[in-house]
Amino acid sequence: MRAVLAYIDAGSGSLLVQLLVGGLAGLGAFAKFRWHEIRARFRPKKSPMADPPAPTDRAS
Amino acid sequence: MVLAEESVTRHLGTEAAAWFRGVEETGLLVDLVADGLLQPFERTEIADGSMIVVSPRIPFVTYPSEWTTSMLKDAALLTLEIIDRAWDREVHVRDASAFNVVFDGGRPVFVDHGSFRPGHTPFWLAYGQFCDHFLNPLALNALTGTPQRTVWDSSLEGLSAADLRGILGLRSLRRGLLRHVYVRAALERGGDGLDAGARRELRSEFGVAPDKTRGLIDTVARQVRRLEPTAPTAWVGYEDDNSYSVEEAAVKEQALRELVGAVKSRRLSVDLGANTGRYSLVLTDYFDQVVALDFAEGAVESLYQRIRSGEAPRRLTTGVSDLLDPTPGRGVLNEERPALLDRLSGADLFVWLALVHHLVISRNVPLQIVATAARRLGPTHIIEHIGPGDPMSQLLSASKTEGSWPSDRAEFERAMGEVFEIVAVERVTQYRHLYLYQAPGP
Repeated sequence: MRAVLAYIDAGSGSLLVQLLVGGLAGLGAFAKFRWHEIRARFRPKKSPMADPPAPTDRAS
Repeated sequence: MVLAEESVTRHLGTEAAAWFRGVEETGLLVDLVADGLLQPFERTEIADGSMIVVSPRIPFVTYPSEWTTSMLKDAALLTLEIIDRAWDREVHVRDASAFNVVFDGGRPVFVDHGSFRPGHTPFWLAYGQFCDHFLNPLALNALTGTPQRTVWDSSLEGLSAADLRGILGLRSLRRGLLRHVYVRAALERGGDGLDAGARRELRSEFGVAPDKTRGLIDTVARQVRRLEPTAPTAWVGYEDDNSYSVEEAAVKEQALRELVGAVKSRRLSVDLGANTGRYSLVLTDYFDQVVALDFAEGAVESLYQRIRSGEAPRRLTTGVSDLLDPTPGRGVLNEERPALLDRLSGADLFVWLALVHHLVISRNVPLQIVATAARRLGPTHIIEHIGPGDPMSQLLSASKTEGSWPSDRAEFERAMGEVFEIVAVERVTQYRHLYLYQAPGP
């Protein structure tokens, strides 16, 4: 199952690293992406059950 | 996906079939098959718009936990080559799992035909998985000497950036790894605050240009090439059993050939405790496929390099495994990735040269268990018995403080005789004999 999540829903780390590649435009996008992430963390969640566990959660 | 004796069949629904056609039109798949990178296939259209894709089945497969570090590196480079060529033709590959690569003899081949999709994507979607399955284990080995195999013991998803960063510490700040390990690990933690929906939304808003993605693929490829498979500092050289003189080795080889001649079915043979493969090569003269297994990575690596260079024939395949702790079943219901014993059973002949005395003396396995294990694997075996008078036996016994070597020929034949019948015996030296055993019945 995790294999499916790994590519359909890549952890943000993998995506953010790619934005960093993109030069100035990439940095701008990167900053914006991070800002959205941080802001989302402080938004009230609908319900804990509505969200699937983040793919980066590793139960190892 | 359906596995039959000789083939693997995939059924693609209408949407997947449309994608497949789109990819085929670019000519990519034909080229990949022609260059030996992708397993050949035949496809059949079905009236309702769906499709059947059939590939020949590779008779014996190994999993990443059975690969030497070089084998993982070659699998990584194959995967990158495919991703690269696909991107050039505006096709992307959905995932980059090590399980999508199978060794056909000594040659890695990609087998996930369903992974290709037409078009470029705003990100390299499989980058994270590629790092976890390939780059990270290779980096772990290059920097610490730990064999990449250990990574798979606890995870079928390779090694995460966070775990690797924890292990490497400041070493993950090296130029080649900084971005993929250190930074990626740091950024992954930040994403925990988002739910999957928000993440998807953000992903659709941002992206990188295709040529930048191409650049990343090339950078990762360069980094993978630079990571050299490394042995741990306590390296032990592996040579063939050198208590043999050249003449004795020739006699043993001839004895082996005599006995193999009496084996009727010649599709698949397994050389257990194959060491550097001297006798595995002999078996390739008789069998369609030969599998050489040993628990010493150094020995397997040396054989793998010979297969890779073409010095050994391609129908020889190799892998690392401890017969006394073979790879268990993994994945869903522990069946998704079948156990090694299950993959091996059905072979026409198992060969145990200079092995049983190691199991009995050094690893304390009673002969009865050896016989039971052999029967579990299959009905036909060539087993070398080494008596107590032999120098090698004495060397191994010398380090034991209790008991003595419990097996002269009579004892050996008694234990094996409970399960097998002797077909033939060949003498190699006064103390060494090769037995051809057959289990009675169907």
